[in-house]
Amino acid sequence: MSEASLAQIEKDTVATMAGTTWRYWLALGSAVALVGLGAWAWSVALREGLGITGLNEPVMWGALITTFVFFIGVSHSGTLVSAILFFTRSPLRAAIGRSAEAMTVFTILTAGLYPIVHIGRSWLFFFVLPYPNQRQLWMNFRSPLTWDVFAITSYVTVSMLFLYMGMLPDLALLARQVQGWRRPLYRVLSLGFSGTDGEWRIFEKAYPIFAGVVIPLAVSVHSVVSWDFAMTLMPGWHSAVFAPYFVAGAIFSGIAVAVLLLAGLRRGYHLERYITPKHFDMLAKLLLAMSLVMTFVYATEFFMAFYRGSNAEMEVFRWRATGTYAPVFWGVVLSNSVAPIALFWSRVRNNLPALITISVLVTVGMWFERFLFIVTTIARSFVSQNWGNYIPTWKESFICLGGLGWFFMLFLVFIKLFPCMAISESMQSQHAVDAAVTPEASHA
Amino acid sequence: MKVSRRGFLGTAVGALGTGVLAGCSEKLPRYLVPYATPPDDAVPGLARHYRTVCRECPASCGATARVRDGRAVKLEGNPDFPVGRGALCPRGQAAIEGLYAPGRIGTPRAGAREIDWAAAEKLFAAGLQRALDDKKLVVVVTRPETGQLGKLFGTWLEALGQAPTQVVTFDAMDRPWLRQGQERAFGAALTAVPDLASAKLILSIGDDFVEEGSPVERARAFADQRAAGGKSIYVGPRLSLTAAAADQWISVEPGTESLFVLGLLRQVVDRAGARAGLEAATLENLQHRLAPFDVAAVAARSRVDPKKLQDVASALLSARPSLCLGPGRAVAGADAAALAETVQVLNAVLGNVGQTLRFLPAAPTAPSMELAELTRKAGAGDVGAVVLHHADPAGYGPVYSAFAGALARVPFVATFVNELDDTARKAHLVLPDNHFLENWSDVRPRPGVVGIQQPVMEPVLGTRAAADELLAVARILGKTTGLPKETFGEALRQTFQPKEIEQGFRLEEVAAVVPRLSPSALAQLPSVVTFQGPEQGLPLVIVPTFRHLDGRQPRSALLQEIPDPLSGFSWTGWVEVNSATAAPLGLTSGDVVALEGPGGRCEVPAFVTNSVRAGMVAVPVGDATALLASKGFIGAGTRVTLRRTGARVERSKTDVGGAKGAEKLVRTVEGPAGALPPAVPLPSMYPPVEHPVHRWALSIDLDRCNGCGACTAACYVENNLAIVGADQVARGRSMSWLPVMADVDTSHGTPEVSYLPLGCQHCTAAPCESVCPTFATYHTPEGLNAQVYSRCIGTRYCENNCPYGVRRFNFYDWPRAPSERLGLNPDVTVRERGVTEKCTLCSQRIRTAEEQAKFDKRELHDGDVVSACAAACPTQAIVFGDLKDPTSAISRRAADGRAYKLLEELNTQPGVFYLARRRRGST
Amino acid sequence: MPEELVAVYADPDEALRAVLSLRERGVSNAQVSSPAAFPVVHEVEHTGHSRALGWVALVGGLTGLACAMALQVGTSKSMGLVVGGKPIVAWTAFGVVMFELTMLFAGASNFLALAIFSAVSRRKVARSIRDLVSSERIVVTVPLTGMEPKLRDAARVVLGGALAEVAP
Repeated sequence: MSEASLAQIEKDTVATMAGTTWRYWLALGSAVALVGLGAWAWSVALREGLGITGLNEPVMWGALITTFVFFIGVSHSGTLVSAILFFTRSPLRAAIGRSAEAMTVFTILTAGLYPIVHIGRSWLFFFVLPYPNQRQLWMNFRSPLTWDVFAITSYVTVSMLFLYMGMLPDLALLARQVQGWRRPLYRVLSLGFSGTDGEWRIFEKAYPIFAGVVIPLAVSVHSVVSWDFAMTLMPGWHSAVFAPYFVAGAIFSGIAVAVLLLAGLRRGYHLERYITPKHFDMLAKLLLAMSLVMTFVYATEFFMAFYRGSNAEMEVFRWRATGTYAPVFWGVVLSNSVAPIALFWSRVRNNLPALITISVLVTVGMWFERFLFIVTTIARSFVSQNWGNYIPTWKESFICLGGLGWFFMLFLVFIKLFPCMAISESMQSQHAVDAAVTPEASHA
Repeated sequence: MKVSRRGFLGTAVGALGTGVLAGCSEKLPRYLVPYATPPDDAVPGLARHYRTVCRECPASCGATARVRDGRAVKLEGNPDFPVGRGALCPRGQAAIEGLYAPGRIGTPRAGAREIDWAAAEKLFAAGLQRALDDKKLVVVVTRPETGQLGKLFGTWLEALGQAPTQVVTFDAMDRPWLRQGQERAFGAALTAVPDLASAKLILSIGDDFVEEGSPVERARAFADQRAAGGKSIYVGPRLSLTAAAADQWISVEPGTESLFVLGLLRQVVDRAGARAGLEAATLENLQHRLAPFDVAAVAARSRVDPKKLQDVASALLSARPSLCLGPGRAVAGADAAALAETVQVLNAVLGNVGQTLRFLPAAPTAPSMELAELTRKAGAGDVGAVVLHHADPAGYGPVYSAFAGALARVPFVATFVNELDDTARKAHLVLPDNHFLENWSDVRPRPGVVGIQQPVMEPVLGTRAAADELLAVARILGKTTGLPKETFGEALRQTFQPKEIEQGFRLEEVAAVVPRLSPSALAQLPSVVTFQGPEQGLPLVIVPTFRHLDGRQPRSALLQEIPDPLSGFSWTGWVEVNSATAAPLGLTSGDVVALEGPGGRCEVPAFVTNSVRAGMVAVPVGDATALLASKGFIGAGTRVTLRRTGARVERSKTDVGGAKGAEKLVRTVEGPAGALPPAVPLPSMYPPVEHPVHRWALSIDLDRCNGCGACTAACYVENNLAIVGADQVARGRSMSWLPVMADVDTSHGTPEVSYLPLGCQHCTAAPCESVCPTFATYHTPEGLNAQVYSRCIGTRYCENNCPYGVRRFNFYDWPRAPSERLGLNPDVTVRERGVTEKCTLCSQRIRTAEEQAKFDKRELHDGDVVSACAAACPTQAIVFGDLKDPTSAISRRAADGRAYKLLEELNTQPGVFYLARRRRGST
Repeated sequence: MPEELVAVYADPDEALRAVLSLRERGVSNAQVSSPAAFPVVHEVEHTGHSRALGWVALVGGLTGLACAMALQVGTSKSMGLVVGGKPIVAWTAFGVVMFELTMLFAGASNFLALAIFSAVSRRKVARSIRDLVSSERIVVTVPLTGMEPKLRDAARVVLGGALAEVAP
């Protein structure tokens, strides 16, 4: 293909960073406003206590933990899908990989806020960090929350490094291309990457190793988060299917959010050449596959509860489907299991508005699905004196929304500072595609 | 625990410093040891114990106050005193709250003005002088004072030149019909001393003896009776705590209890009257009077199965000796005295007199005035001054409204109170009396038993003893004939030996009386109660509760916070409605209904239940006062109408009865020798946990527990638990470490209720421990599940993983008034917001005892450590001890065939175990 | 006499043809600096420490494993608290953090190795030449030091029109 189109990739990518429209400022402003709202609501909780939430006995985990698990889940698709697409050598990876990895990093950074926010004495959150202190206090390594600390820290570190590593060639390119204050920033951040053949060889050896580290790590992280629940003895939580259930759910919700983000980027920056219907088709198929897995898991859970014959567990599932939260349950079934079935038809997959609708349904549905299983188990456990209800309060919702704002704020800042598409990888991928199409005249 | 004169004075001097400083200054003292010059035997950090008497109700149980650094922080019972035998009811446990209540007044008031004591005495003297000059009456209205203070009132009036009979005893909880009934049945005034423990069968005619009268004493005797294999039957309209603890509940058409008893009596007389040792004339008289009350007629009118009536009669005849008690307030109508007489006749015919029903001569009471007479005289303008002493007639609404109105016509009204009540707000002079923990007095609950009330600390505020103020006023008036020269306390103290003061009581020999049935017994037969009120209304029955007692104000915050175990309501009264009655109204539990009776109306939430008979409603005494026709607190006789208001009140959840899908926590065994199948040990991947020296544990005998809640209240006081208020309790954020749960079993026809205190089970394989990321909870080598507040960051993971739901999270910093902080137990941390807490098996007590044993260079004995709940339990249902000690009481219990653990199948290996409730079925 | 020949190509295929031509004519020490990993990059002779990367990651991972074991066992023993009836050293529970730290250390050491090895490797090409690289420019360099004149000429011929003058 012509050199012009390869260079065009860089130009188009740089264009996304250059001009900022009023829409961008509106989006960023709204995100910051949400963060402010959440911060205010949390400051009230810090000053007065967690009584401002809707938590009570028995429901001690509510909307905040739901949002935590939700964001960890969303984080999974980005890096995981990017790494998997890398190993399958898919040409679709180039255009969406960067945004997906960025989504991962920022959702984890957002999710990481919630364990600090939701605990009763947030100012002592560092008690869970391993550092020698005069109190000789170390953490309890049998606790899934300690596992969470390590898993999430590892994941955010590795994901950041993965994103950064992938960005090195682009930063090097940009350092040469752009002018102004960004130039020294990129030059420093590019760590001197120059694209010599030796560097490329090292890079191409290191990157798969990294991707190979990221994939099991990603699977393990959400498994560990799932064990926050599965390692208890609560009915409805104490189930071996939780690890694969959560990982599948994570990919599921993450793909949905990725679809929304990519559709937004595509529309906002006119990247139709790069983010093509093929991308959405692939994502839609993944979405459908994960939806089927989720349906299977829901059915398994119900089946195992009744097959096992445990009173408490059967009661939890019966109540889930017919009790106070029944509307939530059936809404979740509709949006997670029923709506994505439409994606069997390619007409739906290729219809972007339909795909976006289904993605929104899935995103919301997955948040409520986490809410549902967290709350219904502890609200209906073994002893009837310990049965209760839970509705989040306004301030609690503001804290959750603050996290959402935080994610968008970080993401929006990122796409202004850093290339939202992998330039050098796109060039390479584009070149390979063109070479395959026109096999003649490549060689002497 | 020697209380020598020197030691006491030393304490007084030392504690005075505390009291003055604490009472007078805004800022609390900054130094840790408040004594400037401590008494010789006071060791900072160690508690001193003083014996006294609880004055929360006329039962007057013995009490022991634990005093730390000059402040009383906990009340226990007096194990040697026959009334109470070492325990206090929830009111007694909560009594210490009154000492430090923010509402307590410390200075006298004239109207709205605060004045000092000198001015108050002058005013008092002036008011009295005016009354004397006008040749009007001076009357004293007092709560029951059976000791020397009661005598002092008479002497004081005499010194003033008035008649010593001008003393009115105001006791809203009094049950005069019992005395009247005895007198009619036996022809003499007597004091009944029932011996419940020796009875093979107890029949209670609406007598809620676990909740009213002398509840602690009776509850303990009742539990002992059950443990010895005795049975019990309760005849009454609702499943009170007493009825729940009994084996059988029989409900009859409200108001027809008298018929039931007459029918029973007829059966007994027919079948065994000849062998009852009665005089021929008496027997003939009885047979004649009882002729109309055959089984069929009685059963039809009282809507009870005739076979039941006959079964009860058979049971009474076969289980000898038996004991019949009643009528209690719940079933007392206008004819209560006659019903009481009938019950005593029943006792006499059954041969219980002298066996389980013993009599002492009536307590010698000085003649006194009736409230009605005072009302009349005051209304006529004959009364010049009224001095009230812990009496609040105006606070009982329409029941005593006539008196309240008459009081307004009296030119001078002075009252001695601890906190302002309705009468005090209308009085001309309000004088703050010392709290009973700060005062000298004595009480005689029955002949031969004298409880000695001594002050355990210097007054917190600037209050003074009421008796001393009366003496001071008499001195101002120059009328001191016959009055003690020194203070009342000093004079009283001299009438007792130091050893008697130390032990808290004196016992005197009183010869028992074995009366014979009067030939004119049953001259007046009790009639069916007629209910006054709206035509379409439902009969109203009054519910005695510890929380409300007689509805007196102010209401204790702690007692209001603790929910009623069956209905789950706190901070509010309630109305119990049968589900059949509630259904047509569309009522569910929690819906607020408006009740209207002849006396007025009240709005309370409904409790829809089968523990009350259909076609009637039951309301706690406190809220019922507004509804009653003014006839005193008679339980039966009023009708009320119900109307939904649309509002709702949330209840605490106290139900552990195995709602469909939930685990059933209470287990029962059949018969006196029933045992549970042995527990099957579950496999575990881990080696068993070793406890090298001690394994502390708690056992709760569900057969003895009657749900009174003394353990809950004691835990609150001992462990500085926060009172969170109505709104937070409704949201399910109560901080109670040992709430009492209720199990309603409807599988046998009539509902059977068992109560179960549910606290931390101290599991050996605790699921809460492994999930805490900061090791804030762990298993100590002595078997406790410890909670380390300083490490807790509030993830609440432990709450989620506790299958019993016994952990509590501090959602806020709970506010405490400065005076309330004085009453905190210094051995226990006050937790800040964001921290989880739960029962610690009173680790502070374990630690104190272990340190003492180490200091004394000896081993710990069984009984050295007693948790607050175990010490508080009136029936000794809760036993605390060391499971590694084979001779300890708890080890004996662990070997009992009824022992079981909750949710055993989860393999949490709890350290707390329960003994199953015995079902003895019907007669 | 310039020390090296520098040719700049805009089209990756042309660069590839050039390198292959050079190799045909016996010039095998060409270096390529490219904005992306086009096939031309792989045609250059194998140099660098890329093989060691795998070992570095492995060693890093094992270090992480060892650290996790030491941390958990050491702190659990020092706290010495029984929780949930479990033994003080609970290998089943410890496995999770062991896995996480293994992955973390492997990834971090991999990244560090990348940074360090790249820094070492890129010094073979002069700074001024590296600065030429952009999204439109692939630089092929042929160091001429110690090369036979025949080969030099051949290289000059191959690179031909793409030759550029570069200040040293």
